[in-house]
Amino acid sequence: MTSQRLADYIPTPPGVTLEEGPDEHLILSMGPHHPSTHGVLRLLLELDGETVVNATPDIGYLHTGIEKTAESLQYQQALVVTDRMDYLAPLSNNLGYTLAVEKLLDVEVPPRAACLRVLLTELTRINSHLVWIGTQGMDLGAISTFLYALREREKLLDIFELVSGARMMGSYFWIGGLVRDVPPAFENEVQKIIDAFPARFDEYERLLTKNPIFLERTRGIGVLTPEEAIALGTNGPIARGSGVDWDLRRDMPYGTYDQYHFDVPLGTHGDVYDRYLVRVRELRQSLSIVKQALNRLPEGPIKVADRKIVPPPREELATSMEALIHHFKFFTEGIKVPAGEVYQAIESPKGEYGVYIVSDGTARPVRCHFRGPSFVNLQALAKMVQGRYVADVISCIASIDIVLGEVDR
Amino acid sequence: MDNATVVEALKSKFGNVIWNVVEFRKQAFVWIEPSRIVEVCQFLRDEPTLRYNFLSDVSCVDRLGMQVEGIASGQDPEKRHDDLRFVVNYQLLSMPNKHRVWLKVGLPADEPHVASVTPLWPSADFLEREVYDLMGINFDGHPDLRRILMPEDWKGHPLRKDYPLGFEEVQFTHNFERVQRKKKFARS
Amino acid sequence: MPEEFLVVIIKVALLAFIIITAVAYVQFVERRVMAFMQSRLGPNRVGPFGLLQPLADILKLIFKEDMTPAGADVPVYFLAPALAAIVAIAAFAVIPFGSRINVLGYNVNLYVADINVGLLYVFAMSSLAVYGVTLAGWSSNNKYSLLGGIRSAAQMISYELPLGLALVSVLLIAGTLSLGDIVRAQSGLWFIILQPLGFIIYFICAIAETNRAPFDLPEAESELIAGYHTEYSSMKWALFFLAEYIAVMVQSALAVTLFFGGWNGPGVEQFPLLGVLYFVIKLAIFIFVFTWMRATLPRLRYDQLMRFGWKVLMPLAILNLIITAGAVAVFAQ
Repeated sequence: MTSQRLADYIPTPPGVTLEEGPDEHLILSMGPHHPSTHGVLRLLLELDGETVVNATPDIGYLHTGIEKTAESLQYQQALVVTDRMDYLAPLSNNLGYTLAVEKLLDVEVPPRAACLRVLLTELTRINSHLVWIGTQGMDLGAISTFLYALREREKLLDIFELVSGARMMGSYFWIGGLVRDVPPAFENEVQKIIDAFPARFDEYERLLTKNPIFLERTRGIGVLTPEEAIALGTNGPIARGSGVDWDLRRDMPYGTYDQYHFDVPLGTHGDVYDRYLVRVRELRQSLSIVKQALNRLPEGPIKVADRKIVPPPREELATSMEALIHHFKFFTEGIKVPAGEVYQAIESPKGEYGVYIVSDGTARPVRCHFRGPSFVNLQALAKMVQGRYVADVISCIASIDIVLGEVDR
Repeated sequence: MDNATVVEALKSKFGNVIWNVVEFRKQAFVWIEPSRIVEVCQFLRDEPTLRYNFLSDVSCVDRLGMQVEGIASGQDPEKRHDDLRFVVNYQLLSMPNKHRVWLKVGLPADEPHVASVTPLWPSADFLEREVYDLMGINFDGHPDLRRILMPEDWKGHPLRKDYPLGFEEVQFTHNFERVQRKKKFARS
Repeated sequence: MPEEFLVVIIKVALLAFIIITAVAYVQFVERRVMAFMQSRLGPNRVGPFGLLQPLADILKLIFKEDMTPAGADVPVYFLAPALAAIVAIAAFAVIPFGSRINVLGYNVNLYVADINVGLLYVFAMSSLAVYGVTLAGWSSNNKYSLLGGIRSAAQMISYELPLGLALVSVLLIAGTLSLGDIVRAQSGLWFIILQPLGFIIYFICAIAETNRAPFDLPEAESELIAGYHTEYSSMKWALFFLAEYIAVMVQSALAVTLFFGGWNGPGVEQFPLLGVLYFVIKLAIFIFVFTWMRATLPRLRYDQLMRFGWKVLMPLAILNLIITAGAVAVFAQ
């Protein structure tokens, strides 16, 4: 086999050298088209036989310029593009963005809206973790797990379609509350999910948790010590799998999360198996938060009363002149946001999802930066797979639960 | 732990390296002298009472043409840094103390560069590469500074304000030919 | 003599036709069964209950573009799938489907040939299958294929040893290498009762030999795209596909023959054709188990697979052999 230099695959600017090993190493481009890289991720693996010496991620294949686009849109228009980042947990992204803008506007949403937001965000978290467990199983060969997880996900997508009209990118959370109130069938549907899902989670656990082959493929693989996890910037289930006890919902609560009781599961060894256990337990904890939110769902308005921020209800447009003017100005000029800058971080299913908005008092943000957790978590991959086999790279990527929309934005 | 404590600690240690402190919506933004950023970060990370052990984010704002003066600098009496076009923000999180603080560094428009904090937090690797790629800020001492999101041979830094927002023109019947001619790989 | 020759020709042609059709339908059944296990339906559109799906698949594969990658070693590239398929089908020559029936006055044996080293012949054929896989991986000029081919070669060679030892245990009990005689020796007691450990070892090795889950690392879709047959398209790929399922059938047929009594069953002396029915039923159960394992189990990593084969199965197989030899020596008065 002829030797290939890493530099042939990544052009480097002058003055920067990429470390590469001796010529017998094989450079395998686990290219953007690959069944298991969870999207268009390209990994350059430098292999010594089957052992990975170096793993360099090459990203940017899904870069759509969301941050630049958001600068040219009004705040309520930019809300729609935030769905597309972590496309497996779209309402979670919406929540971060709306909380950031509401922090700038210094408004609090009414209790019913806050409760519904928590409920739907936790359902979104279950949604994202279901895809994760499906892909984790499928990448390791247990292909049926993927189909069972998607069967559950269909029920969740039905609920999202019920409230917002779209299965995935619903943009249901609005600045100042929700787009519209939930239909009457909503509570029944959520109750059905609360009743049916625990048995299904047990089914996944029966398939995977004590399976000796699964244990062999995940125990001791991709170990990160807690210090490494923090230093590499990982957050969320990856850091919790290593034992770092940090959950933004509990430690720096936002959006009324401090009113709910839930446990934060922790791992000990920091390997793929512990992250698996953490996420599976998080599934159950999310379901308990959904149950609590459903039980305490109060009546009331779902939007802030301020007409300068939210458009008036459509029934009023026929009779009230002010409502018509507010509606017109809202949809043409946008909302006037006070000048300043905010950062709002939420606990997305992947880690800390942060929204940083700089406003200069007009209707369009000056700068809208999104801290995608998968982007930062990806750096941990190189550390996790060094010295391990190619098959473990797959296991580690699945355990990071990477979503390329968030990585590339 | 609150904003006053950390600002107090910073000011007592570093004095006039701190240009300004702005508080907005209970967040503390601390403006730092660009050449001393690594020292300040190290102090914040290692000091036992502060312990900002997690670097959340490194981002950059291009203030070209921003209307409100000193908006990201707050009400700064000395106005030492209004002509600085780029503002690089470092967002630090202290997990033991559950507190966030923002460090801001103002850089001039031509050849902006600042020291890299990758020796302190390896997670700054990708974050600084993204700022370099999209805004053009050079991070001195970064182990592998090359483009991350854009293709490697791209010219220009897309997120700057003077970089146009590209779009694809919609092909209707009335402008079909005109748009077709502009397409690079059109066969007709 | 010419009549017997004609009978053999007819049997060979019939068997080849049946095997190739059967393997297409085995694959279809696997898709349906796996789909039901995964709470979905599987192909049910083409024809009643989807029964014409294999025909549609074959037609599609015939019409697909047949390409050769640049830099591939062309003679080897063309030879490898043919080798895999030929060897797999050839193993069916000695599998006994039944005893003997009377057709138009001729006594026809329900197998193509009952050579007296039948077991060794089958074992040799499955060893030759390694060549097909490895040469495919090598000649494709593709790193993924190469990795897949190397893994597969190591895996198949390693698991042949415990397989052989399990077969030798059966040989000790039956006292003959001829498959027909082994089946007749089980007319009283099936060998599964005498050789439970041998059967388990044999079955696990059979799964590894055929590159099926949980030992399907060489063709792991999630890691190496498609392993050693990444660069194959159209009929060459179809040949690999065919070879894999025929190998599954061969191994299942061997398991039935050696451990589960072959075509033995109630009433088979009066109606020899019942033997064929029993054989097919037992074969179907085994193929179902293969499918079941594919739908359920994750796959082993390469080094874990090798460790399992050498450090667990080999000693167990040797142990089984020693115990069997001792028991045979003691009870063979």
